[in-house]
Amino acid sequence: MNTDDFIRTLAADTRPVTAGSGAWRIAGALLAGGFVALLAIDALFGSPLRAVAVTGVMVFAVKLAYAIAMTAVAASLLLVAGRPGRHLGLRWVWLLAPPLVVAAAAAMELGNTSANARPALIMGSTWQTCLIGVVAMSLPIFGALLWSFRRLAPTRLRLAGFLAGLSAGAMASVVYALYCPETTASFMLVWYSLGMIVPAIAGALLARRLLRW
Amino acid sequence: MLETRLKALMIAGLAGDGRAQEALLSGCANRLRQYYARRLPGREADVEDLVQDTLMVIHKRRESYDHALPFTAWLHAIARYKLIDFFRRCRVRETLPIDDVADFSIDDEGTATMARIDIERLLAALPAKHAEAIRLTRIDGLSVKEAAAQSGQSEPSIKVGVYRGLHRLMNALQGKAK
Repeated sequence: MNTDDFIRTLAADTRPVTAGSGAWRIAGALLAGGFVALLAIDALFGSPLRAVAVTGVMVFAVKLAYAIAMTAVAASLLLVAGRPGRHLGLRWVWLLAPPLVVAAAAAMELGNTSANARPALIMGSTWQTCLIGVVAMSLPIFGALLWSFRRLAPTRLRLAGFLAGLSAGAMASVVYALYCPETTASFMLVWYSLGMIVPAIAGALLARRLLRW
Repeated sequence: MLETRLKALMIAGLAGDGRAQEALLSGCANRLRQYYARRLPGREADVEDLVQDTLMVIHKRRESYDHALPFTAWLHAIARYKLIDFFRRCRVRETLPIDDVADFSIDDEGTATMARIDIERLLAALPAKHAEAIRLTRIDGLSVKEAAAQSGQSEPSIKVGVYRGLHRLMNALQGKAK
């Protein structure tokens, strides 16, 4: 087709685009994927809010806060990565802030514990469930994020894939935190973070195939 | 200025103005044609494909434009991505024939081996001296002098051996062909 005709065909279908629709798309994908994950965890493990009764509200709130902070940072970086001409620059440093806070808490916790009791603080009793659960639940969220990227245009695919995976893992840990019976910062530092990093690495590796446009 | 004009058109297009969008795409098409033509000299068809491909992206992925950025920065980043993607695809396409060539070379080796076996069988039918003369000069690639030294025959006997031997082989092959 000749380029002028091609342009006319494209322009004939010009729909208005509201500012910020990219951000809404990503937020929508996180919520939609997160909802699917919530249904899955509800079906598998029973009522998710049971965790509050086990751990108390404070511990629950801290875990939720860590997961939400990571989701917010990763998703906002993801939006930047989906816009051609914009660069992350030093913004990625924000990703380190939540884990550093948790690491400080974990260090205090481990410092106050005798050496032979420390492994129990880190391993808890549900680390396998936590890791497998978070990684598995990140799948529907990752899928929804891929869908949201159909209107965005990541020019650095690896980076976008990494951030999409990280956002998916972080959102999955938000959902998992509703269920998680663990109470220590050490556990959260290791297993929640791993649950975010594994999907992030998978996303980076698959990005060429999944995000190409 | 180009930037202000295109950015104004882009914003109008985002608001749903089809005419502005058409003008924007035409303006972009010219820019893109220049951009790709400079980088892919003499490949007009590829350049035009890339231009259309990129225009499609500019239209379908308009949401990825950030109003805070210059329009040309956005356009350039997309054009560059599409160019790199094109090179990547080309590399894939151009490695396919190379794989084929690799297959051929294996095949050639096989053919050469078979030929070698045939030659040995034919040479076996010749008098030993003739066969040796042919093998040394024509297959191992020695000079007549070297062949003479190695085989202990005189130089004239090597020459004669090659000539008579080849003559016999030719006759034998033609006889078989008939």
